[in-house]
Amino acid sequence: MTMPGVSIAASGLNAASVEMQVVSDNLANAATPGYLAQTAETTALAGGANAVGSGVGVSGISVDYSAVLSALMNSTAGQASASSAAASVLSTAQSLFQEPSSTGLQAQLSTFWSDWNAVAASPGNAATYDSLVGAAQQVTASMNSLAAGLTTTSQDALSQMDNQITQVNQQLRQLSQLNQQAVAANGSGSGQNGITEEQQSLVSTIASEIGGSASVGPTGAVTYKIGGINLVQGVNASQLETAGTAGSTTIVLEGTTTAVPVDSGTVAGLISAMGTISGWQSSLDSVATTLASTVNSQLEAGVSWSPVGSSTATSAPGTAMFSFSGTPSAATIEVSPAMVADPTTIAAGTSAAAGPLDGGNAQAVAALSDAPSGADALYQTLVGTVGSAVQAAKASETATVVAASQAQSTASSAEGVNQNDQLVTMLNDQQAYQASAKVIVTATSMVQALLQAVS
Amino acid sequence: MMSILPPTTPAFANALLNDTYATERGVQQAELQLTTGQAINQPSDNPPGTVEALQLQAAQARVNGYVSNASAGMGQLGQAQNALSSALSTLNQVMDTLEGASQAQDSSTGEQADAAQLRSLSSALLQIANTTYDGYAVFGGTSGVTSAFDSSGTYQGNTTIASVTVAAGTQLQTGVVGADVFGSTVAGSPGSSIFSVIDQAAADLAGGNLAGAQAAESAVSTYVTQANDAIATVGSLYDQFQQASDAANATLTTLATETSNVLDANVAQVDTTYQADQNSLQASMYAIANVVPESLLQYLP
Repeated sequence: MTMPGVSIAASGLNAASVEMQVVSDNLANAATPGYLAQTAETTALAGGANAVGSGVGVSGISVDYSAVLSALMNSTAGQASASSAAASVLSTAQSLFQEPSSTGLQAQLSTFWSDWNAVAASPGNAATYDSLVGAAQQVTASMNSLAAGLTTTSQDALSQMDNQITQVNQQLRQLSQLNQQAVAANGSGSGQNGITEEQQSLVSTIASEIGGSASVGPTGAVTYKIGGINLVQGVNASQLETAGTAGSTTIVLEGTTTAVPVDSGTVAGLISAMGTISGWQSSLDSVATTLASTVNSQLEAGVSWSPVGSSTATSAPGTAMFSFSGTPSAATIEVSPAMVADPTTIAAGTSAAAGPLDGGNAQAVAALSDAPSGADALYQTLVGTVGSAVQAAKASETATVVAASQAQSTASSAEGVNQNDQLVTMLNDQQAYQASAKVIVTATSMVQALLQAVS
Repeated sequence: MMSILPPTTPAFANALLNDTYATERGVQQAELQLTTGQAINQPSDNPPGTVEALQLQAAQARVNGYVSNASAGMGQLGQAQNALSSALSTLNQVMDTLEGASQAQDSSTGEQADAAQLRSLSSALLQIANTTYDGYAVFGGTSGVTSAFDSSGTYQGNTTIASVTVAAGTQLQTGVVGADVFGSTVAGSPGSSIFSVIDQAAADLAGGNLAGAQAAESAVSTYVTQANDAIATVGSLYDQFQQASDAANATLTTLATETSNVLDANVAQVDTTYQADQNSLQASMYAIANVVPESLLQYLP
């Protein structure tokens, strides 16, 4: 004799038990980054006697994974990482300018021009020449320092990017290994849930570092690609490397010249920032070369008197004030060693006939300070450009971080663990378990009643 | 934008954290402005404002140069003005001596005394004509000589007058040429400088040539006129320098005001923002602290 409904109730106990395990796992991982909530899928079992079903069975454990939301989250995270990296590097570079202040290059240029004015007003005073050469050295030292600072910032960004690429290569290999495990698990029919989460976690990390997109195949293997180039496909992973210099860096497939169009992630932000800084360096070089060419050119038209105030004039052209220790740039500009050794070689006068107390040529040099395309104007434009670029980078960072946060929140809401939902499920499971247990108790009671009746 | 999906606790906490970070950035920005007193602490705070601040900084340096030039110019002109006044006074004494000698029909002894007086006045005038400023002769032009006239009264300077910039595109001369005031004789050509005129008159008087001394009066009066003209020129230049200096100082004040408008923080406004951000920050912190407690878990037995 069989107890009526006991086996059905037993299936209910089993199902509720499995559901409790799932709830327990979900709650335990509620705060685990990248964890995808699981759900026990239950199915009514047919095939019982008297057209009654045979209970409930757990058909599988599903993962609350949304390809669309994950793609959105990864994409926005990549953009946020790119803009954050760019904003960080550009902000560092901006701080090198120290503007507006009384110590920045503009202040030093102003002192330089003021000293030219002083020479023009007192061409017979040797002290004004010494002061002017000192001011010129301050200007060149600041330009050298600023150029070196920009180069260092760019090199640091390049170094950071190299490290990032090394990490990405490692993660791409890990993803291909996970693919191998996923395919094997799929083939054996065992669950892939843990693997899926590891894959998605890696995909998120890679996306925030280098951009790109992922798709999951029917075997559970993730294909990861950037701009049509597959970086991970099945169990195969490509490796990346950097090419070019700090200002013109590209990412290529290792050992090839195939460019990978990275337009998102930290790496894209660093590439963008290095390109921007390269532009600033060119502009700073223009400031230096313009300063040198305009001042030197004007000096060529003048004469100097040595010693100052004497009646002996040098013949034109006057000595150049600025020279370069290499290719003309802000990094190589310097005050001509000959002028440092003897400041009285500054050609302050317009001609020998005008006499040593004529500072007409120094006046002409001082007037270069507000030339429309002079060094000051170029520098001011550069600082404005720097400010605008950093401001735009910060605004982009704010916007993309908010977008990424919203996407993450949405994905988390859809894929993550909602504790209240889990607690409600737990209450349902508890009641279902108690109900099934009650059925067994009742069935047992029924059988005992029958046995007592017949004994 | 609110999602229709119920947010998970970490997602909700994360969203609150992002809002908090934004508020914190606002607080930090306000603190920086209050600490430095500047609304622009780096170019990205206000790129056009930064460029304007740099332009104003450069303009201030230029105008400071104009003020300095005007001051130096006035110093030099003041020196020239004093010298010319002394020269005029000396020339009038020469005139008085010559007139006295010609009218009094002096004795030989008196003529000798007048001649000695004239030589003394000539020497004093030469000393005045050789007045220096910063070690260089005031009336030597741009020649760089330390004495405009040598001991024989020969002009050593040139005819170029130094000028300085007192405003954009405006240069003012810082003196007058000594030769235009005292003459520019060369040795051996008497009569073309005040010194040779006086020396000749003294010689005439000493030799009893009263007619020659009387004739010198007319020549000396020409130099008196030249000295008066020079004083007027220098006075006019001094006034122009003064006006330029006043204008440059007024420009400096304007530039300082404009710089302040661009750079300085509006403390009252920043303080209000600061208070509001602090309140928001406290509210955000309170909300975050209550995210986890607000759960069904609290109500389960």
